[in-house]
Amino acid sequence: MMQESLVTIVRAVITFFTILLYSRLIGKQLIGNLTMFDYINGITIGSIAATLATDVSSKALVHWIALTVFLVLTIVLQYIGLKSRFLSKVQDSEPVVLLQRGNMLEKNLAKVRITKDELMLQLRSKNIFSPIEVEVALLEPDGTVSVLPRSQYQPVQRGDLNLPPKPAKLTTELIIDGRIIEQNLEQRKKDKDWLMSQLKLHGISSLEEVSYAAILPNDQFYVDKFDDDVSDDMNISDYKGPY
Amino acid sequence: MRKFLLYAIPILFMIVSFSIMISGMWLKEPLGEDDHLLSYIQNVEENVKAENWEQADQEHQKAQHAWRKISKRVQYSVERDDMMAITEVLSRIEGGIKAKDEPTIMPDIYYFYGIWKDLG
Repeated sequence: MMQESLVTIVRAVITFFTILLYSRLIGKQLIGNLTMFDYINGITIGSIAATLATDVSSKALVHWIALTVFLVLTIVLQYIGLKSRFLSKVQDSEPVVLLQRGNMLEKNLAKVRITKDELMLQLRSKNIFSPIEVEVALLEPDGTVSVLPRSQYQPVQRGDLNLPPKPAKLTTELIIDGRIIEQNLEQRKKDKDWLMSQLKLHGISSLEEVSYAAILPNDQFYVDKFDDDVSDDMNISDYKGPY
Repeated sequence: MRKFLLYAIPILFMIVSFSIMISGMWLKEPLGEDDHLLSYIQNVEENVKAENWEQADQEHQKAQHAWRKISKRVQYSVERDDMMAITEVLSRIEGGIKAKDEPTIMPDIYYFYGIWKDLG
């Protein structure tokens, strides 16, 4: 008769890679920007996947089809949202103003069912401890609260002080685990000779010694060797182990 | 090559997965010499009707053996309840043959035909 463990292994493998593939097809939106719909959809997809892997009393195909239908509907709705602003709002709602110029908007708070305590909690998590400091606070469709502080409470910007603007840059990785990333080197218009000369300045003669090297946003050269010359001062463990 | 594999592997995986999930439809059919389950049961039916009990018993034993083989390959795509129903109905047919009781065997044989049709 049925070898349930074997069947479960095969079904779990199918489920695992199906979920991996489908989550790649749905895109990153589900992770960072969960609306209520995305959240419930994600839970449902997870639940169907769990049944697909473990419920041997029913055909795997039935659950797999349900999973695929959810994926297709999700992609269709994403596509509709991209094409129609109106339908996108119908799907995901729109931001709601909760606080304006220090005044809590009770009607809107009631509409989105958020208490004043929850609103204050959200403000505090953004380092705002007084509603007076707020020009406008919005509840976003993904449930987070965005806050614009009143101008007198906003931090000073370079532009306010008439300081010359500095171009914003990213850290560019040049070497990882002893291997040069040629593409990044070219991007920053540098060559291998320049890189080797920089390493030499840091007392490094071979690429094999380098664990990580990069050009920092301020154009400084950063290098980290495999050989870590670090003392035990920063070890916060208070138990010798083994554990 | 990388880009090709990036698309080819997931597509291949989907095809293999889908094939496993619908494989019952064709894996229940005979693949060897001794796994003609449906014909063995049809032979049982004929022998029971003719009251050839010894012959019916032999055909039933072949059916039991065939089902043991078939169940191993269809288990990934069919419902556990259907598999249990087939095992159960084969035992009931065996009991009927031992008791030489045609009226109890015939409903079970036709019940088997019904499940067999939907299996897969």
